[in-house]
Amino acid sequence: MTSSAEATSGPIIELRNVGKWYGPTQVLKNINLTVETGSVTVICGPSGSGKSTVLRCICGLEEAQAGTLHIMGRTLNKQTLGDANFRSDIGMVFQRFSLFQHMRVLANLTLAPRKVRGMKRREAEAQAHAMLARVGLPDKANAYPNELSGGQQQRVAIARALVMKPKIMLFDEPTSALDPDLVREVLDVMRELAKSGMTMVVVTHEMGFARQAGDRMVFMNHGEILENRATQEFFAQPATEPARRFLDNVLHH
Amino acid sequence: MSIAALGEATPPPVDPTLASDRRQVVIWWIFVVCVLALLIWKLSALNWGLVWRVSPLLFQGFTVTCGLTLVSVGLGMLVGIALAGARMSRFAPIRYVSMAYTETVRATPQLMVIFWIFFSYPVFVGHNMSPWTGAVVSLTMIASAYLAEVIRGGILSVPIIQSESATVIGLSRVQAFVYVLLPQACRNMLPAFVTTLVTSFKVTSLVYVIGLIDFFRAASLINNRNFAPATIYTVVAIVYLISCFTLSRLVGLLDPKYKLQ
Repeated sequence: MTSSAEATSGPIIELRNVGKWYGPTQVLKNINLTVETGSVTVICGPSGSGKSTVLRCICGLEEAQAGTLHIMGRTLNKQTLGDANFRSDIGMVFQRFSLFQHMRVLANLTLAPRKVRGMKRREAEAQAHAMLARVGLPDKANAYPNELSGGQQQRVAIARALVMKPKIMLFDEPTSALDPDLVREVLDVMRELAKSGMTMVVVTHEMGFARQAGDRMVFMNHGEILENRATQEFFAQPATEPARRFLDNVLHH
Repeated sequence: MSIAALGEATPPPVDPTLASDRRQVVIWWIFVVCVLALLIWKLSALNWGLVWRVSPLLFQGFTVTCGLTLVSVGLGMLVGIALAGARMSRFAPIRYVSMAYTETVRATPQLMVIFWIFFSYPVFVGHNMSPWTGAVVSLTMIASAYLAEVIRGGILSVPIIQSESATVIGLSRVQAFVYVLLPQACRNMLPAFVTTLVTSFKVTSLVYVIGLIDFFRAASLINNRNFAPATIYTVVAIVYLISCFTLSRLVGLLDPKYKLQ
């Protein structure tokens, strides 16, 4: 385990010259990204710009072929990714359908704490109930995922990541697959999480959320980071033409 | 349209195919009744006294068939899970061994597997194998090879995001397989499993070649002695039909409550 002193002193995530290819196609070009502990970084950009790939590299689902990733003071490699405790220190929320469909909500929330952290069943269940209350679903412990709305499923997915007490939370378009009326409840939970001091990296098109909760805005285009600036600065005046066009499209469609 | 009807919603249109559907159902029932009547008439002509007399023998054979099916499918399931897991291993040699085994067994006649196990064992080991052991081993091998493919298909049908979610919350590959992939795969593969189960039940009839008397062999022996092929094989057919139908229905009851998205 990384010591928390180490984690708080420097950046919690540091990507240096990260590159990635799918066959001949380069999907990430020389990515340099630093995320400070407790900050909220929002990554935006047109689809196919490599936003999700950055997140997937950070949590180890994809392997970067060039450059280095330092997460929580450790270099990302086969060995660190083989460490279950290290992996579960990085929480990830996907776009949709990530809940284990054959398990009730409670089992979804207790599986990893019990199997990875070795927690007792009773303790894990108490924690799960507390976490469900936190995301506003105290009465859904016995539901199956398919009995929940999309927004409720996403909130359970957030709770499932949080029960592992992660140091970093990654969100990969958590509201993109939702009906418009369900987006808010998920963003509310994320806002609350940001306020609690969680380090978050969020890929989203929700510019309202970015403006309110985000500390840094990262704009990506064609696998490159074109802008990485304080949120207000970015929204006041994007420096690059693609970012201007993107913002224009997202805000005034 | 009458004035009264004007204020109401338009009535649902009458489906023009409905009337012909009804006619088809009637014709279908007449057909079924005719076939049943013919069957009963013909069946009553069979030698039921003989069936009654030899029923203990038939029953004995039937228990052998059922026992072998249950044991071979049960063990085959365990081996099949291991094979399917091995085939999806990151370690290439394990993958190839599993693939070679599965493809070999599936590409050879079941009869040959039974013969081969039973007659090559003494050559390699030096002493004979009992027919029971031979039957259990060879039937398990056959069932495991087919079930491995069924299980693999089931696992591949589980969306990749399920295993990704399992990985990022910290589960190991084995834990993800056991707790997340396998249970969902089981549900998806239920129909294919029923098919394999029913096939195994029928394949069991081949063990007569190494001297075991299963249901089918018992019936053949009785026929050789009493010569009443129409009667005996009709009974055999009916018993197989009822057994296989019941089997598939029983497995259908295992269908879990949750639904997949």
